[in-house]
Amino acid sequence: MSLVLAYLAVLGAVAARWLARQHLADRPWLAVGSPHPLGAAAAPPSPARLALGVFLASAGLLFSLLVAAYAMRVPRTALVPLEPRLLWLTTSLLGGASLALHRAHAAALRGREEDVTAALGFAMAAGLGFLGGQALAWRALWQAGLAQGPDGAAAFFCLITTLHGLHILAGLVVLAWMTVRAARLPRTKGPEPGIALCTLYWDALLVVWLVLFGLLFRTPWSGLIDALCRPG
Amino acid sequence: MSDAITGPQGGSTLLPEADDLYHPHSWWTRYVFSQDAKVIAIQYAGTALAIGFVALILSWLIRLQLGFPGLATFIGPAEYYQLITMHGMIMVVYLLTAVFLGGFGNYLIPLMLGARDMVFPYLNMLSYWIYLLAVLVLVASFFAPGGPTGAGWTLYPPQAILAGTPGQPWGIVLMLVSLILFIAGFTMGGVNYVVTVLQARAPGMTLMRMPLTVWGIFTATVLALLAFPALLVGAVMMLFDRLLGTSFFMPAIIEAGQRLRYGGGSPILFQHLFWFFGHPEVYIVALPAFGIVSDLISTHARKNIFGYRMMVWAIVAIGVLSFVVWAHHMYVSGMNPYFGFFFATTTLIIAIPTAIKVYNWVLTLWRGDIHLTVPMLFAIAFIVTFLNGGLTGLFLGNVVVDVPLSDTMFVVAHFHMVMGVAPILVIFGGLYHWYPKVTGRMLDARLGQIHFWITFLGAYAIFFPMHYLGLLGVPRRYYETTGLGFVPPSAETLNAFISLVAFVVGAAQILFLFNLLHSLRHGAPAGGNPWRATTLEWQTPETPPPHGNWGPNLPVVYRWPYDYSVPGAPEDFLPQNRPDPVRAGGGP
Amino acid sequence: MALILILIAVGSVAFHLLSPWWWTPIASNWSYIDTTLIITFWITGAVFVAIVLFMAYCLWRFRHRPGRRAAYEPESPRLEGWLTAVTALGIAAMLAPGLVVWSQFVRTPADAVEVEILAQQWRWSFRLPGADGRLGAADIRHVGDDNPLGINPQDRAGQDDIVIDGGDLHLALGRPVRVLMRSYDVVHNFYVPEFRAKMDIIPGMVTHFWFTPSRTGAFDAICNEVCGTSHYAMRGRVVVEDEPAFREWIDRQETVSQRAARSTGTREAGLHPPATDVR
Repeated sequence: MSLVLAYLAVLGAVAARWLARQHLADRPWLAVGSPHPLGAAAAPPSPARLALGVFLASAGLLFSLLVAAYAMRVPRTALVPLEPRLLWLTTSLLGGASLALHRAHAAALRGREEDVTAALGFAMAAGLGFLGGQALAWRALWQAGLAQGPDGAAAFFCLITTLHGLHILAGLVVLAWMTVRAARLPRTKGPEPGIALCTLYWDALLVVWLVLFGLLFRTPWSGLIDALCRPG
Repeated sequence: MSDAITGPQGGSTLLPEADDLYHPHSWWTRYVFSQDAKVIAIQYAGTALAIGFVALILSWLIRLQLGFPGLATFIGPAEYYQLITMHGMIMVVYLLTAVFLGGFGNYLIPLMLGARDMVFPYLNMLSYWIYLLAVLVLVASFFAPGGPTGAGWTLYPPQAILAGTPGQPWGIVLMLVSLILFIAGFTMGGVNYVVTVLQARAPGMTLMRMPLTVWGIFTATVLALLAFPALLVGAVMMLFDRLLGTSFFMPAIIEAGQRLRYGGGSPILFQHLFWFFGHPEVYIVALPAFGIVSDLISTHARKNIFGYRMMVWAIVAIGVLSFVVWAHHMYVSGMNPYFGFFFATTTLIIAIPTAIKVYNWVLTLWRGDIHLTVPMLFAIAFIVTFLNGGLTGLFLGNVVVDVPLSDTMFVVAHFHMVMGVAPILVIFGGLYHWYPKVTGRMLDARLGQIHFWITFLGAYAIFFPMHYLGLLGVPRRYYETTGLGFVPPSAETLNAFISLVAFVVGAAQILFLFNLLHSLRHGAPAGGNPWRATTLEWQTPETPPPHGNWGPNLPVVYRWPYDYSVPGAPEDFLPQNRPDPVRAGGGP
Repeated sequence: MALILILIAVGSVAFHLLSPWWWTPIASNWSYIDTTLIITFWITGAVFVAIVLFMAYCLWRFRHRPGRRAAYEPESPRLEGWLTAVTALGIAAMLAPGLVVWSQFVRTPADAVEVEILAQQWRWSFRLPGADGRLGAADIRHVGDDNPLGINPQDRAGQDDIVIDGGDLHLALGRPVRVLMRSYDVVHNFYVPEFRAKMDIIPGMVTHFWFTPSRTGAFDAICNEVCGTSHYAMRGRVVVEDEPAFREWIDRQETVSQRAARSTGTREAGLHPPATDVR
């Protein structure tokens, strides 16, 4: 649970920084009429971006709980009995999707619609590829009967892939809906906010996946994750 | 003037530029698939109260068995365990959480903050329909082969998914699916509440001018967004164990002489996940109740809430602390006993901000002008029961005292008092208080008085003596205690007495239901602000408020929400949106 | 209302003092737990009565009358500070003895005798060490019809252990006992109200607690963690007796090796079906 508590502490720090600017020590009964201006209200995040942020904070806790559960349940030496080459491929696909979304965002800012559509299409294809690869790995483990093994690593792989995959799937649906809308509707103000949100979402899911990947398989950053979730 | 007040301006969705948005066209979009937070609130509350009545009937059956064992032949042990499980789960999740956040939250957040609606009305509607689906799946488990699960509301594995527990074929699966749906639906609503509080406040509504009700609901929502993932993880893992044969929570097991295929899993892992959700859940229910009670007491004592700043800080402190106390439910669970030192300390520390809240409620009464209206009666009864339950919590939080008392009737009495009776009294108080705003008519006060006295005194008579059964050692979740040497016959008499009172209290709720429906048509017209309250929801141009709440102009907030009996003011209350600077300094 | 509140405060205290329902007479060394509980009762009881009576006074004294107007006092940091400090003090007064006793609870004395409890749906089995004073290793893999506790046949220490399958557990008066508990199916909890101490029993691990029986007699033991349909009927019995009686009892019991020999004998005579090793 140490990772969960660390994650909560980070969230708490963000919340505390924000609260510290909200004049919580005011005596509100003394200030009638105009309150002092709320600090830095110049450019608040759009409601949708804020909502996505809140949702990602909640989803992030979900995944850190999974990591904590993994650390409690699976022996340190256990590894997912699977050739990691396939997973390296899916990981790079997910990274590619994220990059493509960044490109789409940049292209949208410059108003180059064809580039936007192409980049969105690539991102979707890469996302689908990622899901397909994960499903293949899922099936391989399942058919070998490894997911029911006592050390639980393979079962955790299946669980984590399912939950992470569902989030990716939801992202894909939104992405598809956005692409279709971008293609059909005449451009008014431009779809940048939507693309920006998708980019943020995919970046977050990529980070989550990199952590989970490092946890489940031997990667260059596995040592770091191990140290984070199993101190001592 | 509004230039001087740079409150957080809502996004474009909040301004009535799209007039259409707030004029639903058909009966369907107005009352069924409505995106109006107020209608969604009523839908949430209505559904929750309906399923709550199911839970009430279940509790009758439980008491029938406990008070008069053997009388109801249709309740066997399996049925008994199904009854207690469903009663607990419905009350905690599907009634209390849904009413406070979905019901009061949806109704009061936009109105109290001077917003037109939630920021994402469509998401809000979706949230309700997924909640309804979750309730229907839960209800479906009553009719599934094998019946609903009888694992206890804590659903501890391995027991929850093994054949020795009723409801193993379908009940537990439907229960878990229903919980997952509930969490998905709640997350949509929860994100919405948070964004609305952060971004859709009326001009001039700073955080420190929010009524405590909003503070309570807001903090509880944040807690819920961080606590429900733990239940989600636990539920999904248990579904994997049950349906796919993995062993997350399942060690090597011999069941009825057969070695099962499970192995290597950790039952305690589930307990950690469950209580990581379960303890914040207590505060998810309690914090909105704290907030509402603060507002009820202040309004009906015609006095500002005493120590507003302390109240806000206490809410935030309780919220933060509630994430580091979860394992006090697990003192005797076999976890590393040295954790006991840490969790006992954090648990008793959390009592300090809670105690401050109680003191401040009571001190608000001091030198007030107390109107004993029905909502006020409920608020005072809340203080008594919450105080009682909170104090017995100190027994259970103190690790070593918990050892003999855990899993006895003492625990049952404690949590019913503190998070059963107390929050429900607040729900009643809140309904009596805001019903005039919702419907434009008052609830019948005389029926309300009768309902109040039976409910309050009855509930106290049920749960206060129950503590002593627990001291005696009478365990909870026992179908019958006959034949136990340490349970004297007089305990059976006490059980019968408790059951009789419970039947009466349950029946009194029908009175309330009648009042609710009868007053819809025949209640006295309430006017816009029958309690002469200061907060924004009472200042709407129309009552009940239409979709969009405020007519052409959003209210502008000039003062904090507790300007009651201000010296020099002509009336004993100054609404938040009244600009005249009648004020002669602070208090004494 | 005020009157009713006073009645509630007085009534609760009266009920506390007069009610016939109180804890069972203690039969172990954990009277400290009772002491801590009593301290908590006094402190919380005083707070409850004080606050309810204060509230009753307010409700009566400041009730609404025509022309009455409430005072205006947003806060009083000094009063709130004092209340916080006093509360913290009260909390500390309850927490400190609690933690001291808990530190005793988690530290088993070195001379404690080990006793094993195996919980299964819905019965208790017990195992006491033999002459060597040690319990032999056990594991779910070794469980069979004639080895319900799964004692490892390779472990010599287990051969002289005494298994009580379906009978009462006997304990010697005044000798500290370290109870080791295992389960092969679901979570259980071994609870004798008179002993005060208890602990959950988690399948897949060994949990433990310790106590010293301080009074002779026969006590009901119950399962105190919901464990399935017959949870309520999962009962056992613990008999505490003085040293000579305990010695006499334990000498009458059969050890694991004696039992195995008898079982082999019956099986060879064809009276007993072979154990099915289901997996």
